[in-house]
Amino acid sequence: MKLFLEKITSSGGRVGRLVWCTESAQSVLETPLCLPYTRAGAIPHIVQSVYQDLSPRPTAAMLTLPSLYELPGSAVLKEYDYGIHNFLNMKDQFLYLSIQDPHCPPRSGFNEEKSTSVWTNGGRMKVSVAGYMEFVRASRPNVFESLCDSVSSQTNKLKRVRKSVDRTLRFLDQTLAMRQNCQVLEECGLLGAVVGGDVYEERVRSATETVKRPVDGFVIEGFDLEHSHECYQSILQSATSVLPQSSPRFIHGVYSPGDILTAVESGVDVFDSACVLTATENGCAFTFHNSSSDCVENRRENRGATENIAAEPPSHQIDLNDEKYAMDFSPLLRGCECYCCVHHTRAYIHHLLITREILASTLLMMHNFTHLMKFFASLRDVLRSPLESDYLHFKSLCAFPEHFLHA
Amino acid sequence: MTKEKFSFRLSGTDGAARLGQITTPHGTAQTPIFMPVATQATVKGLTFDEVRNAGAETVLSNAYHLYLRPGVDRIRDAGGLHRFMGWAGPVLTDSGGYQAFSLGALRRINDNGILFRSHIDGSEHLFTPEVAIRNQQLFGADIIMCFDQCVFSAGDRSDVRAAMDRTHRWARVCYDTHAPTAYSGVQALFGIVQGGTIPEFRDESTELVTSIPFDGYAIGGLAVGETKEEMHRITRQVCEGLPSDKPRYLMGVGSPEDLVNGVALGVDMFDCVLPTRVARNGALFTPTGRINIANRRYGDQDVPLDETCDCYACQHYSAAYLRHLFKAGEMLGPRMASVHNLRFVLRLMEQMRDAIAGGRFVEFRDRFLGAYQPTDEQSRQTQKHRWIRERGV
Repeated sequence: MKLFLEKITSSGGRVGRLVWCTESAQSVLETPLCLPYTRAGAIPHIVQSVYQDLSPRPTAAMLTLPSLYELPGSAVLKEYDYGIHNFLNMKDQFLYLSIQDPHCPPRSGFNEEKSTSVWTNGGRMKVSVAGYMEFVRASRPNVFESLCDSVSSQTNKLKRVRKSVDRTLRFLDQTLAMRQNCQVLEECGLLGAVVGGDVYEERVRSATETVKRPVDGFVIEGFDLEHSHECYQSILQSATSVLPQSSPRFIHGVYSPGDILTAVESGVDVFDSACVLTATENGCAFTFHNSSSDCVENRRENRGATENIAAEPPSHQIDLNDEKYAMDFSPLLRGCECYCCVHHTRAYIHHLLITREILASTLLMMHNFTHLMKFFASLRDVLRSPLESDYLHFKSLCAFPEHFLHA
Repeated sequence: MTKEKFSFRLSGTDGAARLGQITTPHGTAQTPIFMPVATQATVKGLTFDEVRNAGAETVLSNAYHLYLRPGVDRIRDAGGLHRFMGWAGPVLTDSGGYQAFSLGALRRINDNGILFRSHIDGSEHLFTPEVAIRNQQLFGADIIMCFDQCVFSAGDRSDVRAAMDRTHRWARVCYDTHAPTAYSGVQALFGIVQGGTIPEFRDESTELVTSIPFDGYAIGGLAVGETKEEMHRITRQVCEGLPSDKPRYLMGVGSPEDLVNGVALGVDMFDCVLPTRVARNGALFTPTGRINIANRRYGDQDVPLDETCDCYACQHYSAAYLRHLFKAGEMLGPRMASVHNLRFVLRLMEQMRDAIAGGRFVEFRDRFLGAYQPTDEQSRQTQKHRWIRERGV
């Protein structure tokens, strides 16, 4: 896996291409990239064609270890020629394996010197480097995150944070040693995890030390919905400023448009779509600005009008449980071309939520997922634009106060 | 939407099995037809695209549930049920009588109607034949059903008699409510033959209900816990008494073998929640019978569950992966199982229509039933009675 940077904008955002080799060919994904978040190897509720219809091949996904480690587990996966690609029927897709599930709140209190804990359906399981490497060897993802002990930003004991940095580096070294002697593992890209909580010095230490190891990219760990906005940017930059330009930077747990843009400006390339599931589970539909139609390039090509700013006041999302939508026969978001907005109304989704029908989640996922993917496509558009003002205009329209997500 | 009135055309027969076409303002449908159940304006877990891609041409919704939520006014203001739920094809609504009787806490039944308490919030409601027809007219379904009084076939003779008599009175009221309106002819009204499992009653009911010129006739009061033999016997008996130029609808049926046997006896229309309901619990139809996907033997089955199946699930996922989704508690598992079961049943209907057109229905029936192992009678009855107790269906 290699990242080719096309451009670094004056805001700090990077546009590029992630290139990797499959059995048959070289494939390319554009960055900033949003990887579809999966659980048990599936995007929750929806079928793959929803994603595949949105973007041309190839496609990609973020696999989360907790929902795969126990079941299907290494024993089953090693029976498949191409590992997890085969099992999930995702051949030729770019699959990234992360240690934790970003949709769940972090629980670092159970990690130990020799293992990190993940929560599977069957309960807590300790994952050692050896156990994890067995799983990676059986599943053969395109790239995997190094085993890490990541503490949440709530942790303020310096001793604990230091320990997480030390452990993570030790896990990385053990991983590298095991990988050296194994061709299958060598073929999978390895991402070093940069940890350190909200302690500036530890973040820098983690980043600096990880850079010394031969990794293919970095995951900046430790961000989730609980982190506070003030130190978010400075902590993020304390890590990214140390990382080599040409290495791809992944992040989890960053979801509001404002936070995503801050991360992009700090030099992050790859995100995940777990927020789509959160919104869906709350009965919410994304309505934040996600269009680049008023940027220079698109104006020239005359690509559609500024749709979603028209009638209603701008918002991050709407809660379809609210009674006020019971007789609202407009689509979730005017101008949205997802399956749900083309075929259904707010009143219908409200009805499905009130009657606790399964279809509510399916339709909301289709909308929210489409919406977020479009956001990233538009983001890439405005970053590529020769006019800095396009990006700034886009940012001003979609960056909302953090508190919207905590509603 | 065309301005077509409702019509049914019988285009062929093969023995007692019939081939036909229903025409409605929202399109046509080929019979024999299986109608997936969209109780609360959704076929549980499936988008209507998925339902259509599985081969469905008509769906069924339930007036009792829709009356309570979202309510008649909301659906009317949305432009009718088709627009409300986003299904452009034909729709049939059940009158809601059965659910008022079984789901709601019953307050009183008399010749006027059923007074019941909503199972959701305990509010009181009165369903009369006029109300049931009026609600269904406002929902705008293409086919609507008479309001009947239901009784479990195991009930004693006098109960069955009384329910039947009341159903007959109400059938006349339903007809008289619907016929003079502008909805008549555009929205088809079907009468329902009752009478439990008592042959004399069934004869009487058939004669009386067919004396009223409904657009179609349904066989009600079956698939409520009687044996298969009884169900076949009554179905045959009633079908022999129904006019051949109008559709016959066997309500609440059924499993794959029930569908094949029903077609063999001259039934044109079926509906049942079985395919989607058992799918959500991991039971999937295959040509040799029902299997449970959670079974360990599917854990390493790297190929689709049924290689002859052309549903989305079998085209994209292995049995092992489907099982994995169920084990992981991912909703995508039950959704894909529902897609599979619906397709299995709808493809079965397609195959039957093909066979009737080609004059090979008996051969098809024998071959299918020879290979398909139905769920054993004991477990079927246990499951059925539990459903009736818990959900009223």
